[in-house]
Parts: sequence; C-alpha cells; structure tokens
Amino acid sequence: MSGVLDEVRRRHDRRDESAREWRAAGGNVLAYMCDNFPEELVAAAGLLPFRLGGDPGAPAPHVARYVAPDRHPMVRVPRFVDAMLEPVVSGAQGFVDYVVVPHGRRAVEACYESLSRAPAAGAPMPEVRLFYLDKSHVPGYSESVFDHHCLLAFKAQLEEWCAAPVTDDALADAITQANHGRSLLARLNRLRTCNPPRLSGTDAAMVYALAGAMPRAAHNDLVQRLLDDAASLPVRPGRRIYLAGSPHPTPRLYRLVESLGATIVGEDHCWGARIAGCPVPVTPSPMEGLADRYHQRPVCSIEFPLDRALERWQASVRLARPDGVLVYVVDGDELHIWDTPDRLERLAQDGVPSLHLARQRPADDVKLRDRIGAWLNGLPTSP
Amino acid sequence: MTATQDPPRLGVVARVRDHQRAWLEETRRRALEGEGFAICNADEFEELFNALDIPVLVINPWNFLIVAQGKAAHFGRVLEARGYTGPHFFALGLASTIAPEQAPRGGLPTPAFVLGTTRSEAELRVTELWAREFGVPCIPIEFNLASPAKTLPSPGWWQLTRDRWPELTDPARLELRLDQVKSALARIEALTGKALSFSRLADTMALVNAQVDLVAEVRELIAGAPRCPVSVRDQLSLYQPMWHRGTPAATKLFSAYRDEVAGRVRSGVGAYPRENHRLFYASMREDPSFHGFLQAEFGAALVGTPYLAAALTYARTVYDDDPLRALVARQLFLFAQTPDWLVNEAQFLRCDGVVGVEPASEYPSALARACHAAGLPYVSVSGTGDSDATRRRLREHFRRRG
Repeated sequence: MSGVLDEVRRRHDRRDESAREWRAAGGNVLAYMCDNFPEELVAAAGLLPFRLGGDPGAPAPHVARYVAPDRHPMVRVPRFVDAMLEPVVSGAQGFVDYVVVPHGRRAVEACYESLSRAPAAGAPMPEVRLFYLDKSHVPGYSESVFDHHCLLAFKAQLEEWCAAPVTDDALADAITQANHGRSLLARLNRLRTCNPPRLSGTDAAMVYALAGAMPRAAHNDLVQRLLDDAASLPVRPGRRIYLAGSPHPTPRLYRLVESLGATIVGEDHCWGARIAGCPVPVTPSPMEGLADRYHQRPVCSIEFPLDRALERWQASVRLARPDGVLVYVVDGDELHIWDTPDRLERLAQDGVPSLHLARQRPADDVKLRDRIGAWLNGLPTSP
Repeated sequence: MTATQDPPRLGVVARVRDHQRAWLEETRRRALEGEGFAICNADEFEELFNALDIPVLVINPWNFLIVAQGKAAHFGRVLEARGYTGPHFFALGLASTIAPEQAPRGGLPTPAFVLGTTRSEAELRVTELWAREFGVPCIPIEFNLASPAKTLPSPGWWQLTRDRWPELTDPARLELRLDQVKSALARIEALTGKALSFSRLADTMALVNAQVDLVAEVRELIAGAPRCPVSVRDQLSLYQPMWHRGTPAATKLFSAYRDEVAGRVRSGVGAYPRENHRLFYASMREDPSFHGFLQAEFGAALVGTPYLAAALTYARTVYDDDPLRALVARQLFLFAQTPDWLVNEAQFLRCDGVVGVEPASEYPSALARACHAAGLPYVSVSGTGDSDATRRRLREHFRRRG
C-alpha cells in the first residue's frame, strides 16, 4: 500500500482541513461550484479557491429549513446541489468568505438567490459575499466577447474585495502552477487508462476532489509524490468501467463498483478526470488565455450543440477503452435525461456494453450493488 | 370547478377559443402550403414573428392542449420508449412529433426552424432534439426571463417594468442578447424569405402596450367591484390572447373582455354564487379542482391569480426609437414571483386570504411569511387536486380562522 495514497485518503476524509488552516492563518477563502472555474484568478488575488461539495446521501436539514421553502416550485433540485449548499447554509464551513455561483444548471444558478436570501430566513451562516459568474452556453464570437467581459468583471470584483490589483505577473504564475497541476493529473489519469490500470477510480476521485480544496502547490506536491510512487501500486485486474452521467462529489459509487472487482478507468462528470484536462493556452496575455479556456469549456456539462458534447464524450470513452459503460443519472438531473439515449446509441455503435440507471437516489445501495454486480458478471471478457 | 352552481362563463371565452382554433388551422394550412412557420418558447419571440408575419407555435400552449386532451400519459410513454425518463411537461410537444398519430389537431407540420431556449438545461436540449426530429435548425438564444438576476429585484419592482426597465436589466446580458437576436433574425429572414420592418415592430410594441392597458382596466374592475365579476377559470382562459400580443386580433379580444367585464360590474353580476371569503390563488397553475369544495363548504371564492398582474409586465416604453432593445430587455426580465408582488396583488384585489400550492414542508415559505407579516391568512396545499388531504388542510385553515 502506498503511503501517499494513505495521505490522499486521510486528506479526503477531512477535505476542508486546508481551507480551515488557510483561514486560521489569516487568509481568505473563496468557494465556487463548477469545474470550469478560473481558479487562477482567485489564486492570483491571494485567496484560496475552494470548490463546494458534499455527500448527496447525507441529510441537508438546513437547506430543508432555510432554502427549500423559498425555491421556485418549477426548479427541480438534485441532491448534489443541496449537498453543496448545506455546509454553507448551516455555518459548518464558516471559513468561507466569498461564494461564486455560475450560470450553470438551473438548480445550481438558483443557489445565488438561495444564498442571498438564506440569512434573512434565519440560516445560521456567517456573512458571505456573493458573485454571479456569467457565461454563455452558446458558442460564437459575440459569446466569447461576453464571456471575456464576465471574467474581467470577476477580476474587478476580486480586486475590490482584496483592495489590491490582480497583476499579470501574479496571474501568469497562478496559471503556470495550475497548468503544471493539470499535467500532473493527466499523468495520474494514465495510471487508470493504461491496461491493466494501477490506480483505482476511488483513489483518483479523491485526488481530483482535493484539487479544489488545497492550495495548488500543495496539491501538485501530493500528486507528484503519488506519481513517484506509482511503480509500487499493484496492477488491478478485472473489468474496466467508464462512469457516465450525473456528478459524483463523493467516491461512494466508485467504492461500490470497485468492491465488485472492477475498476472505474474514466468518467465524464465534473468531479472526475475533467479536472485534469484542458490547460490554459499560453498567449501573450494570461487573461486572454484564461478567458479562451473559460469560453471553450462547458459549465455544468451544458453544451450546444449536442453533437459537439457527444463527440467530446465519445473520445473520452474511447481513450479509456472500457469493457462497459455505467450511465448513472440521479433523480432531479434535468440535463442527462436528454443526452443519455444518444450516448447509449454511440456506445452501441462502438460495440461497448452499457448499463443505464435512471432517476437514482442515494439510499438504494443494496439493490444497486446487486444490479451492477449482475451486469458486471454478464460483460464479455476482454480480448 | 365543481360547485353547487357553476358560474356563468364570459361570452368572450368562446370567442377566444374559436380564435385559437381558427388560428391553429390557418397556421397549419399556411405551413402545409410551404410557408415557413416557427416554434418557440413562450415570452420570447412572439412579437418578432408577428411583426415578420411568420406563424408561430408557442411550446407550452401546445403542451397544455395535449394535457387538456388527456394525452399527457400517452406522450409520457412515447418519451419513455425513446429513453427519456419522465414525466416532462415541456417535452410533450417533442413527443407529439416523435409519434404524431395521437397529436392534437392532426399534429404539427414541419417548421422552418425551432427557436431554442437556454431557459434551463432541459429546455435547451428538448428544443434541440425537437428540431432534430423535424430535421430543421435549432437557433438557441442565451439568457432569458428565467436567468437569475445578478441583482435581486428590489421591493416594488413591478412598478419599474414599463418605464424604468433599464434598471431591471443587466447591461452585458442585454448587449449579448441583442447581438444574438439580430443574428437570429438574419438567419430567420434567410430561411423564410421575410424581412422585419422597423415600423412594423414599433407598431407591434405599441399594440402590446395598448393591450396591457386593457388588461389593467379589467384588473381594476375586478378589484373594485363588490362581487368578483370573472371566475378564475375565465381569467385563465382570457390569458390566451397574450400569446398573440401585438396583433390587432388580440386587441379585439382584450377589448371585448374589458367591455363584458364592465357590463357585468354595471349589472352587479358576480361570477360565484357565494363570496364569503375572497381568496387570492398564488399559483400559476390551472383552476384547482378543490375550488368547488371551497365554494360549497366555505362560500370561499378564488378571485385572482398572478396572471392578471403578470400580464401588466409585458408593457415596455420604447426609448431612443429602438423597439428591439425594449423588447429584448423584456425577454430578459418579465416578472419575478416574489412574495411582495403576490401579497401586493392579493391586497389590490381586496382578498382576505391567500392559497398557495407548494411542496409539503414543516417550515413556512417566504410567501407564507410575507402573508403573515401583511396580516393575510395563508394556507398552502401540495397540489391542485381535490384530495382528502387537501380538504382536511382547508377545513383546518378555516376552522382556525373562525
């Protein structure tokens, strides 16, 4: 067993430890909600970017009391959204100074109003300052200009909050460090896509989740040490599975699948390998590069046209060379209901078996284990 | 509503129904003859299509028609068979194209395009899939009335919508959407061979404002009359001409509506047999099945819904001779269902209580808190059906009111 993996698991169990330490040392913490987020700007402003997440299977009593009664009745809210809100609204993550909400899924963007109104409803949360980070879901030149201006507005807000300019030099340094981190994560990901894999999906998911919870330099150091240790990791025989569908802010499903002898070698949700991908392009202006990447990547997996999203996804699946694809869509996920049939069709064209689990709730682990186990047992053996 | 005595319906309701039917048949005929027609979401492009003389089918009214014909379950199964696990009200129209055999009025002809919406991630995909089903382009436009405002609407925001709308509009979103609408118009003009005339659009916007004024008169008549002259059922039916806003036909219908209501007020005709309690129905859903129970058991009448107040928010003053800017700003902010707006409407209509439809919760909603603060008794039910649970809840509410 790798000692570095032990450290990864320990840190993941206390995912907000670094942020608490940062805050205790006098720093400020900015929380955000999406994988397509310009964390480099935040780091360059001297703040710690911290991605909000939580266990969708855990109760969310403060959301139920202070947020849910005021929500628009037409907005369906998946549990992973409440899981992000609960620690903020309850005050459990009292180290958070700022929260940035993206123009993403309707349930996610509604968090902006929820967090604005929760204190007046009596929520025991400390004062947080909010920013709504816009982005167009549609490609095009006008939209790229708009997205660019959205980042400039965010930069101006950071400068106001911090009472200091975000310099090009500081931004270039932050981009260099984040790009280095992405290249390390890409190397780490190859420990999953190689055949046989050496890194479990569970451990990989924990490394990815920590990327949004630690100072980038510390996380890079952790990943580098894990890579240095890679030769000591045992190979993992068994089925290679690709996980598609809804986000997984915790590795619960990974553990379940891998307890059945399989390895999750890839995924496309926003808490997985996407965190590794897409470095900021090197351009004369660091801000331009950052804006380009922000514009070109989807928020909350919302992408138009559908074919573009499917092609990106199909390439990711092919890279992972899975024996089967598990398409897991949680109850209330209004996005993946509509692209799943197309995904299944593309898998069938590629001859990849799949299991589609729709409207999943976190409480059905025994039945889920049986169902996935039966599917895994029925998969053809790899050549 | 099932009451001891059904309220007399307004004569103009039948005119609206006839107009809707004739309009749909005319649209169908024009489309079958090769004229381009459009599908779009509500409150987006209707005025522009009317000004372009392009027949337009608004998605949700079509979906409501499917529901009214009792075919929602069938089309839900159509979606399930395609792998789209439901239920999904917004996608009923898509289903009626996937399997048109049971579609209302013989189904939809092929449009020239579908105007996509980013109102939510689901609606974006559904409009795209619908266009694909027809084999026509989907033209998406970003940001809309459902996009959360970066600055939450201030108290009394509804007093700003007509004349002070720039204060309710995010400037960056407005510029982007204007760009996108102009690009979309160029594409639509190329697809249909029709061209938008500036003066026609200006006239359309002026007509919309005049139509809103007619609805405002109706609202004041309802508020001021000793007995509510228009049932909620009829109020909802009379919202339908809003889908044709900016057309002379809508003006005729709204004028007839205003005249008939004024006549009822002059004659002292009430829509309900009893009006012991005037209740505001703070929901944008259909006339609830429990309305008959409210009438029969408590003599309580639903005298208004948010739709009357919502209709007023369509008006926009055009500045700088730029009707497109005013219209696009309205596409970005129409109204917000804030508790103060709903309470204001209940008070304007002289209601002595409010009924809300909300998911069951042990905690009071913002609307419940606002009603309490305003001294308005509030009761929420979890659906519009006339269930035993709803009856128990309403009985308990009125028992406590004494």
